[in-house]
Amino acid sequence: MKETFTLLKLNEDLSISFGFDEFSGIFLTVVTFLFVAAAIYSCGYMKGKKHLVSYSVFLTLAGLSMVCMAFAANLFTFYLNYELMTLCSAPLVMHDRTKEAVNAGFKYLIYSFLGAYLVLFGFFVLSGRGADFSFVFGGTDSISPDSGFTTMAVFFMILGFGVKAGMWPFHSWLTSAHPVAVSPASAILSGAVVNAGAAGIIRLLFYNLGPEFFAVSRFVTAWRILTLMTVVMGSLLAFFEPLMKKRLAYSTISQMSYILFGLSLLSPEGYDGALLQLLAHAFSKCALFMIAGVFIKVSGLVRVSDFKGIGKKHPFILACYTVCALSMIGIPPTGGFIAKWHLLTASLETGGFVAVAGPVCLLVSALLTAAYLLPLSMKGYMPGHDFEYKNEDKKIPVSCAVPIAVLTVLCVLVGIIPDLFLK
Amino acid sequence: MSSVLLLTAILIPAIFGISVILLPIGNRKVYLALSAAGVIFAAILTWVLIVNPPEGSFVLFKFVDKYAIEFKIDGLSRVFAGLISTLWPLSVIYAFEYMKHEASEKTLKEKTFFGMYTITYGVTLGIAMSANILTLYCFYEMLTLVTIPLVLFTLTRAAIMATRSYMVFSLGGAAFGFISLIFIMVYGDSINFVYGGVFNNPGIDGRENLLRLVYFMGFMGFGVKAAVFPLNSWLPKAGVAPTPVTALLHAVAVVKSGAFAIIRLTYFSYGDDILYGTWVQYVAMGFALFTILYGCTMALKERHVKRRLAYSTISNLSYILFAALIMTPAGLAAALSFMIFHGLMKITAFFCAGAFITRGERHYIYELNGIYKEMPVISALFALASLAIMGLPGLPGFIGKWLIATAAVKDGGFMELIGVGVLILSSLLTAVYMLQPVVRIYFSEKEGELKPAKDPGPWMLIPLGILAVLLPLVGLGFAPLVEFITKVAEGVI
Repeated sequence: MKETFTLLKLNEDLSISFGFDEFSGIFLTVVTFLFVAAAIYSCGYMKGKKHLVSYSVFLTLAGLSMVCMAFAANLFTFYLNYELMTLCSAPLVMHDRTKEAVNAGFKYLIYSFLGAYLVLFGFFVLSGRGADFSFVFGGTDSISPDSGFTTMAVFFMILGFGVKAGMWPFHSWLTSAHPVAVSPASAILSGAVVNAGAAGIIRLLFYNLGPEFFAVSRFVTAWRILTLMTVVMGSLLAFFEPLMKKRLAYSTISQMSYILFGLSLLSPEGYDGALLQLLAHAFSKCALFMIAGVFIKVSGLVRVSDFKGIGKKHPFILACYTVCALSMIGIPPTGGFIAKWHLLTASLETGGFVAVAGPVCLLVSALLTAAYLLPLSMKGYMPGHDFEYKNEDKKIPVSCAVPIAVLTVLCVLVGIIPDLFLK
Repeated sequence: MSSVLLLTAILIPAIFGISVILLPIGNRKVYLALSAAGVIFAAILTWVLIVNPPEGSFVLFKFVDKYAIEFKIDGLSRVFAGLISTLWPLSVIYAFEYMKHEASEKTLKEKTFFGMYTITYGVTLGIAMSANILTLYCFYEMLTLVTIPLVLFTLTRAAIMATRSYMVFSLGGAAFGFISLIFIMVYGDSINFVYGGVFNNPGIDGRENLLRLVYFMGFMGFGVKAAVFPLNSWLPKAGVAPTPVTALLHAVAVVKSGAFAIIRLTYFSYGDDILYGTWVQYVAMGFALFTILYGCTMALKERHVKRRLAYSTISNLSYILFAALIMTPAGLAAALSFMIFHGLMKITAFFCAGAFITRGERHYIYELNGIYKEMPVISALFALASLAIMGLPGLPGFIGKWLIATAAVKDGGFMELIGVGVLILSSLLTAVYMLQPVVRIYFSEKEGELKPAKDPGPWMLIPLGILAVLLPLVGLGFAPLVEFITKVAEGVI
């Protein structure tokens, strides 16, 4: 970063400072759109719920810490806000104060801190080796990857950030937290919070150590295998999952690992693909969770099969759902297509085993994604002849519908004019 | 500054404490004021001495030519004395209100408590200001004796058992410390504390391994108070004592005297020349690392709030020992910094636990469910302390861990790198056992029949408020403090 503003210099190595660069812009776009959308959505969705003060306070604080994360000019500032974000988003999961919600929230906290402390391990090792933690695109070259211990520590940091991004084997908090969290909170978790993990890896590898630092290590293969496994496994589990929100949570696990896979290629093409996937996934998954939320709210049911015929009552919302689903699968003109196209090219360019395993895994996952997302669109519009329409329409509040529509449009925009977001 | 003031600082609390016990004062306010006056007067004097340390030492009396009871204030003394002189006045003020709950109507019992509490301050100052290992040893033994009535206070069966355990462990441990002392007397250049050690004479040639073994005995002996595994079972039991005792003595003064004695032994008596890189360093470090994990695991299992905090103390004390055992100036600086940071954090947590006990009869973690509605201030402070202990950046715990870990990585030995991993694992366990009560306080619904609770009055809130300000202040503005401590650790001050 060219210009930075140092808020507080703790000592020679640690300072809280902020700056702005290309990636800050991208991350900020995601965060602001998502949090504003969630806030508007909450106006309609949260009507009649308890503990609204604590909800709004923590939603705002979580948003604020993510904005600070986007502006962070060094790894310490990033990490500080990363932990604050975790602490502020947990109350959103526990919002209902039921035993399940509290347990899921606690699990979320513990998994997150497991990740955070893995990051901290690397942070300690790197600062003991005298690393400079400021962010410069392409790396600061402050330390060399000469010892195996250092690269291992960096791998731990990647795993640690991977916990937030739902990478196997640290994914299970996502599927516990989402079904019990209130829907706007799920939308925030799956749209924004998980991306903090990806952002951490981007900041670490592309802005601090430099992609070459990690490219030479043996761990990079392990990392690629983990991400590809997660891509397929997430889709597979989503396919077998009957609960709507849990299915979407598995979908998040799978889709986030597309981003991580793109990053693990450590090439410019892979990096672009990862950023596009980050944008497309954030907008569409946030919208999908909001849609799931309104469906659950109007019907009072939670399984995917319960939403048969819902397209007759709410055709517009289901249309948004379909567009987002297409983006998840990777069908033009949505953002998901262009992202996956970049990822495929990058994995073919990389060569080696990823040139084979990458495309195969992405293809299998795309098919599975179609298989677990599209049936709702089909059954929703075409429930079949023997379907009985019940007349208990509850209206979907406008404040819920507008953010959904906006996010869907954004998701398509990423596909049509990606440069608008990347530059 | 005259060096006789050192003795004055030690004697003031003792005189005030003895007069609180012996003088026939029936009025509660008078004897409270008397003990507070003793503590605060001595604390001010100590701070003056810390800021302007007198040159030279003060010899109280000589046993024989070489061996004397002697006081001196050096860098290390200034750090430890500063820590206890900040926290002791706060604890006495806290005790005013707290002890009302423990000893209603029993003036004599309460007078003894406040008297002994005040005397203990003097004894701990004696440990901080000892100029040689003999003096340190004497005050260390005295500390055990004067704190016995404090642990015994409630006179319940649990308290008696706890006292017995504390006595046996401490006196037994001191015996091992004594063996170490004898070897220093026989083989050392002198018994005084000299930065870098006193074994620089040819007399030790060929006896290095024997000395290392004796060092290890001393480590384990003084390690009793620092709660090294397997000699730590007295500490959780001692949680039956009133909270001002557990908060100050069992999280700061007594246990850190153990750590302080080990630091003296390691850096100022034996010296890193004969210890660094040898088996004894790794064995001792192994014990410290195991204790870190043991403490965390037991804390996780424990459902009693104060005992959980006691196990957490066991684990955190071994952070200090681990850092000290790195045996580099950076390691010593990290140990001393963490000593201060841990003192501030843990005393806050204990004060909150004490408030839960006096103001709501909540002893167990599951009883804390939803208590934030009734005790919002204490709940918030407890959450703050918890976040600090688990190491949230911006609060002291993080910086403490950062200093220890960077010192360990810089040294780069195999054990040290394992130590960094252990530190991280223990941080995770700490997050689990400290966040669990916080989540219960804020997000669980109250269960079962519990007495109504309310926030305590000003005498308990003032010390807590001061600590609550100190925590983020130290967490963010630690630089001058750590700079000073680093100079101490390098032997410059």
